[in-house]
Amino acid sequence: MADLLTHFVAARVPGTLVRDGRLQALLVIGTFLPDITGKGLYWVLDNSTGSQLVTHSIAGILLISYLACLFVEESLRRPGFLLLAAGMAIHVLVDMTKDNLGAGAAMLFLPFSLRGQEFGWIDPENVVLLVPIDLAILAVLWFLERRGRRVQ
Amino acid sequence: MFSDRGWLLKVAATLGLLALVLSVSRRRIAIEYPHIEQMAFFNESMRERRVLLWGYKVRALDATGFQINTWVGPMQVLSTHPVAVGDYVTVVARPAGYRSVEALRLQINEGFGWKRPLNYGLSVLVLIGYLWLVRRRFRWRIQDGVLRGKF
Repeated sequence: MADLLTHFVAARVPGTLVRDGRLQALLVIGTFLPDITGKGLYWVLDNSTGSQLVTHSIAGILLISYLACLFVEESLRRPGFLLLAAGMAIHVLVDMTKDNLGAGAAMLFLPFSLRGQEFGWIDPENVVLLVPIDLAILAVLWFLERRGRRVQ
Repeated sequence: MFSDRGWLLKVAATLGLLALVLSVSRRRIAIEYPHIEQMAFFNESMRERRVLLWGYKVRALDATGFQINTWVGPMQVLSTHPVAVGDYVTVVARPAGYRSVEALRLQINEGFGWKRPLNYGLSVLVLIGYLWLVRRRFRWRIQDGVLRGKF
């Protein structure tokens, strides 16, 4: 997994287009969900086989975001589902940039196919080196949003 | 689909479907990608499978490769890739025999000892920090069984 700061930034950038603060939060929470649920299942079920891979698959994204959206207010559920799913998809796309030696950073079509998918651009352990870039992007976002609020 | 009607049923059905996807996936993955520990019970049917080793520490070197520690004792990784004792490696391998796998692809994870803990530490901080910052955007009404928007 990439660090959650990188995932946070990857969701926060498109999140600036979402005006409603609660929906924006759901997009960001969505990007945390694949790892939280994957690790949660890993620790709760005490079984490392595949839990993380299922939460990083299309079926996992749809089921987990639907389950999560049921816990928000009824009027927010439909857009909430879409934004949670979008956040989870962004997470998986970021993870797919890792080079897992061709084994695949994600198995998108579980449980139907075990074929792994990855772009293979970056050593999985080196994602933590993206932290300075993440912080720079966050600083720019913060500045732009602050300026935008002043103009309004 | 998104209404409050049959809320409990929807939650239960989604959980059931998720459990089904999990169990089918895990069963298939366990067959196609056996754990390294299963090499202690090697049989010929395993030969065409793939074993994925993430962040294992090289414990000893020998003429055919190197050794790693597992829950069931040391395992041999057959490899011509130069590694040193103490290196962390990620390997895609195929079963080669009793307690032995052959490396097909190998990557040395430099800085694994500090990058991985930093990754986890930072992730926990970001998660807690963000949830703390947005806590006021939602409020928990447990009596309704759902999170309600505050506004």
